[in-house]
Amino acid sequence: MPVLRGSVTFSRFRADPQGERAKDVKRWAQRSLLRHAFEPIDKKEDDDRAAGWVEVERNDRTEFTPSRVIFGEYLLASYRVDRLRVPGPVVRAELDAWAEQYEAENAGPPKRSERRNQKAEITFKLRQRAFPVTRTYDVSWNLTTQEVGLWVASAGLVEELMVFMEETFEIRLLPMTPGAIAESLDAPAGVLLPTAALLGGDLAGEVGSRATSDARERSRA
Amino acid sequence: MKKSAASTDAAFARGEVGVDGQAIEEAPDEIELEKNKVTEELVRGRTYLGREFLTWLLWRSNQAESLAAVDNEPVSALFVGRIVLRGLAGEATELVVKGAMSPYSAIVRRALGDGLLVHVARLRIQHGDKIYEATVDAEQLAVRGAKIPKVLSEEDDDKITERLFLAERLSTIVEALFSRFLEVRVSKKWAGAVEELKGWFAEAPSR
Repeated sequence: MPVLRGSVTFSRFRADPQGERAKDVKRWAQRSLLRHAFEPIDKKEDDDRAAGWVEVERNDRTEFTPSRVIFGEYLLASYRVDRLRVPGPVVRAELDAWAEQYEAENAGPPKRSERRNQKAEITFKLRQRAFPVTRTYDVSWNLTTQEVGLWVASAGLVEELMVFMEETFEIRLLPMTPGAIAESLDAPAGVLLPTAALLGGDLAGEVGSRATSDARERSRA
Repeated sequence: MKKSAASTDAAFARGEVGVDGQAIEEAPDEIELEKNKVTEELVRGRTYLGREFLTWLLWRSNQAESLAAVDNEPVSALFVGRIVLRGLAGEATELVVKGAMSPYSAIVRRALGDGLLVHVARLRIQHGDKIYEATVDAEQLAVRGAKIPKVLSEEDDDKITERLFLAERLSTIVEALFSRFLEVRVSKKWAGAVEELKGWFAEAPSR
């Protein structure tokens, strides 16, 4: 979800710095981002995926000069994910063509191991020609209020981005979910159990007891 | 023939079939599985609080002009368009209703009275003279597909900070509404509010 245009979609977190923050925020931000900057997929290696930070709206730039990262009290960056995919049907078609030719030349079909080796060779060859699919996901962080927005819709990506952000900036991200906000109130445990009168049905009691054991586990943790 | 007898023996040894070759355990009950799933979903991260909040907000938005204040400016909300209700058990565990004023419709209130709660809703929020629109879900309180007020700055960098400020302001407003709900939720007023809510559900005209 682009931070700079279109409709707004984000998941909300509060940043909790672990340890002391550098005094020079601009240099600290640049250094942190550079350490986890995006590096393209090396086609000679086996990895089909690469991820890291790039500048917002300039997904090929990783200089992170302060004027491209700090906007007023906000830190802005993009998480770039590249995926390299060799289409299965293309591999299959090339493999079938090879098997046909093999059969004509050798008066018999290729052995299973030969077929497997040939498939690996075709995949490697096609991989050298393939272009990665690129996606970027923006992150905003108000360095004064500590509110962090991950401008992503999918739950899986939110989790991945959250972990990456924590590693990059040595912070803990606390989700601003109903449960987390309620927990910060320090209200007596029983007060926040589900309201049976609203849930209806005889399952309300079961939900209540599960919520109680859930809360107990959380407090133990 | 030999192979099938061997596999029956193996199944018997695993306790899957009896001496007559019939399965011992019945297939899992679909209704039971669904109950477990929806209960799990409701308890995870205290999603039920998010659902109670959106349900409370629907009722309050039908009554009051100002629901909270952010920076001394009143906040009011109106539910618009699509609304998703979810419940624990019964014939239906999810109800999706569409239509400009559908969130306040009799069908929604009857469903709420039957134990379903609001899980996802589209809100039009007025804060002072600014209007926001966003889809909010009960599990994360995340903001989806939001429209924020028009950015007025002309310089590029100012445009960026203004847009970010407006997005964060929307987040603050959602949190302020939720905090207002929590104030009531943890107080003695909650029992009375629940009675009033149930009264409002019951007032829905019948078919």
